[in-house]
Amino acid sequence: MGSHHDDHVEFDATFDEIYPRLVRYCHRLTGDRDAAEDAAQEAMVRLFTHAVEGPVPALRAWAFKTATHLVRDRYRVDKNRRRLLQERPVAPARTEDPDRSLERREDEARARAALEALSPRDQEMLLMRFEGFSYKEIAGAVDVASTSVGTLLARAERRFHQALTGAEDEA
Amino acid sequence: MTGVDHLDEALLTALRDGVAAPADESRGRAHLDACVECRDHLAALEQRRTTVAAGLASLDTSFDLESARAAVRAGAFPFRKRTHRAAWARAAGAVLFLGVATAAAALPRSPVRHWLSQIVHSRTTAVPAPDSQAAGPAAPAETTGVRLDVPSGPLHVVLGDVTAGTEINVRWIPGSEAAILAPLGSRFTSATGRLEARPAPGPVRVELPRGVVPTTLEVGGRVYLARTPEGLTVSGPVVRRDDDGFVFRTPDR
Repeated sequence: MGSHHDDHVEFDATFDEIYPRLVRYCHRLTGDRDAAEDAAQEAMVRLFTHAVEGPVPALRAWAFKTATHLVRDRYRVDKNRRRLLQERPVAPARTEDPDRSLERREDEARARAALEALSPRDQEMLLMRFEGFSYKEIAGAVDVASTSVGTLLARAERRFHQALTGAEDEA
Repeated sequence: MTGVDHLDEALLTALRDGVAAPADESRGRAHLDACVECRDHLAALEQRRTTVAAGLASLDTSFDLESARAAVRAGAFPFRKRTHRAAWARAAGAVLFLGVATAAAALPRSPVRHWLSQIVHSRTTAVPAPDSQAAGPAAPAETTGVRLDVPSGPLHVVLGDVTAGTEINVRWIPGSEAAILAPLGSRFTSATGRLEARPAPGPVRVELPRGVVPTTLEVGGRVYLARTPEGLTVSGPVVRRDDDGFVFRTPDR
């Protein structure tokens, strides 16, 4: 009885710690609400069914890595769709809140286009960094040497910023 | 141009974010104390971080966390509670059946023996593969789903975009928890008194609490089953039925 209750408490605590940020990451990565939910939920199901153990940061890194691979394998928008998104700088209607202002939708489209201008790996690294992951965790998730992460991240951030603002950053 | 004497952007970014290795941290801070140009660069990077974070945040939208929680829970622990109940029920039923059958067999001319043999015959023909299609097959390994506690009716279960030829196994169950379980890749939503799914191709299981009335099962815009205080109406394409439910198969398009 007690253990069943404890299972529920543990499930809820782990879910609450990981899922909201995971689905946000997947949504930023894909630009697709359904794909983001699919990938994030499947990664969470695998986390529990594989009985992955460890402190929350380790579980979170595992879930993000799994979701990253799911997105890469199944949901990454292809080049044609990416081009289409850039040519139509307004976000797809199905993700829009009717109350959103035009300015906000334009901000979103600009950020989407800036992100899509990066390579998939740079997108993953940038988004994971802005979710608070360490260089070592990012290296493990995107399969690059941890010694390269700092340089790659700095470059990805600079390119994203340039594409977002049109500014010429210092190299 | 950044000269060799200045800190590179990767190190400045690491210093900004507090993730530089200890040796780099010491070297970098010492350099910053003496170099105005690098301090300006660091300040620009701090501003850039704010702009980038705001840009990424503009991509965000809200999600239904409770539906996601239910879907993940069902996917991670499919049939866990039912497995225990079904095992106990099967064991109790088997013991009872064996006891009665043994008593009947002990009376060679007893009408009870004849009656029991008829019952056994009719049960085995009505349910072709005991347990394999109806009450408790092991959950497919790649199953996910959603559960909803429905203490009282109405309950509306909706399956949309169902692949032609899909088997939908509908079970009446005790308790108050309704569920849809379907292959991984299916999508689920829930609200008060309503469960909805767009199942990925493959068999679907729907669990309906026996005591909840009214209950409606709608598949592809068509009502397959409706249970009201007046009785049960089954209008979907039934391929099998037994005491605990129905198996429907959606028509080929």
